[in-house]
Amino acid sequence: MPDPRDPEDDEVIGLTRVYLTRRRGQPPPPHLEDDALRFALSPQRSKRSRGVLGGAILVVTTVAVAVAVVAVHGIRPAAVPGSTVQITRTPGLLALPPLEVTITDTQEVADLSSDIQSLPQGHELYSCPISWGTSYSLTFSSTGTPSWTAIIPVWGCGLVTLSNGPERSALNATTLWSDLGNALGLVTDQVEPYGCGAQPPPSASGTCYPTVAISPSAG
Amino acid sequence: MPAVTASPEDGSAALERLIDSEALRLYRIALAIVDDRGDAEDVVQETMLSAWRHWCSLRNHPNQKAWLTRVCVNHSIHRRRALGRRVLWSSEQWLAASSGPVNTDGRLLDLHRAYQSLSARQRAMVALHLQDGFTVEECARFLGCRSGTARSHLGRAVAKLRKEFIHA
Repeated sequence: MPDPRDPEDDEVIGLTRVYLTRRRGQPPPPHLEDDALRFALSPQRSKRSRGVLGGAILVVTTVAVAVAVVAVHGIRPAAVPGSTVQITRTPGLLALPPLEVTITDTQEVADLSSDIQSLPQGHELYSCPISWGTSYSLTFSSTGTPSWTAIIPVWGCGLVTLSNGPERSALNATTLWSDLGNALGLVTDQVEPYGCGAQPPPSASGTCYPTVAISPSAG
Repeated sequence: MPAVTASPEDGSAALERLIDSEALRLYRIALAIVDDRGDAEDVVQETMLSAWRHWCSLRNHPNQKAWLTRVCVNHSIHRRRALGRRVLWSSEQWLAASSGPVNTDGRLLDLHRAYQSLSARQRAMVALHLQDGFTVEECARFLGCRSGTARSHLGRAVAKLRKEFIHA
């Protein structure tokens, strides 16, 4: 990979900055702020409605294809507990150490799989705890069965994304967090980290993590 | 995880202030990625709709600017991908709309054509790092990837610009 700061790229980088500056100088739409506010607050959003309709069509099509695949191949759509699970944590805006662990203990893998599959179906919420974008990605693998992945957000609306099924809700999923903490060897504050300064703090316990600062030159 | 009980209606005035302070910055990021003014405006609207839908968590967020940037970048990348390789803004249109004097040696025109060849994530890295001055680590967090991956996107973007630019 070429180093973007290589001296021979300086001319291209400099010219790109000029190009982007010229673009920035172009006038924005005249009612940008007003239109954005109206769109956010309006109960009738034509573009959003089309998106929802398109999403509904996509879901119906996907379900139809899945049913056809199951009918032909006799595959159960529900996930099979894997013999290993690879867990990766995305830190989001929190200053957290990297975490990437593969769990091979069959019981722990089965517990985590069961915890996730037994979560209730998720739905969009308007009032959620604060989120720092932190999430866990769990990839379950087993010889002879298709692998599947669950992305579990920490805090926020707690909507769990599955590679093989509909979204589920991890709100109040104490067993899942407990089993995840046990598998990773982390205590509650560590497995569900939250940022310092949140009012009110999402957890009653005292430990918080600093958030990543943004450059003052931004914007 | 207990849910906060405040209703989203509590913050419309605060949302308006947030839009006033952030909309133009987000619009410029979106424009650099999607390359179309109408689509960039749509991205800003979708970003602010996301902000409103998550207002109860966003209102006390310690870094609202970073939250909005991340959402805006994601919306922009999705929209750019949906547009495919369509060139939305011809070189002539770009120069006609550009605020400065027309670049007579054609170098900016060459760069404009080279910029069209960048992928959505490469454009995002160029916009965030070279235009807005975010560090590679910050860009990685906005893109939801590792720093090494973000650095790779940036390196490939610069290499592609150089290659297209030299061969233009």
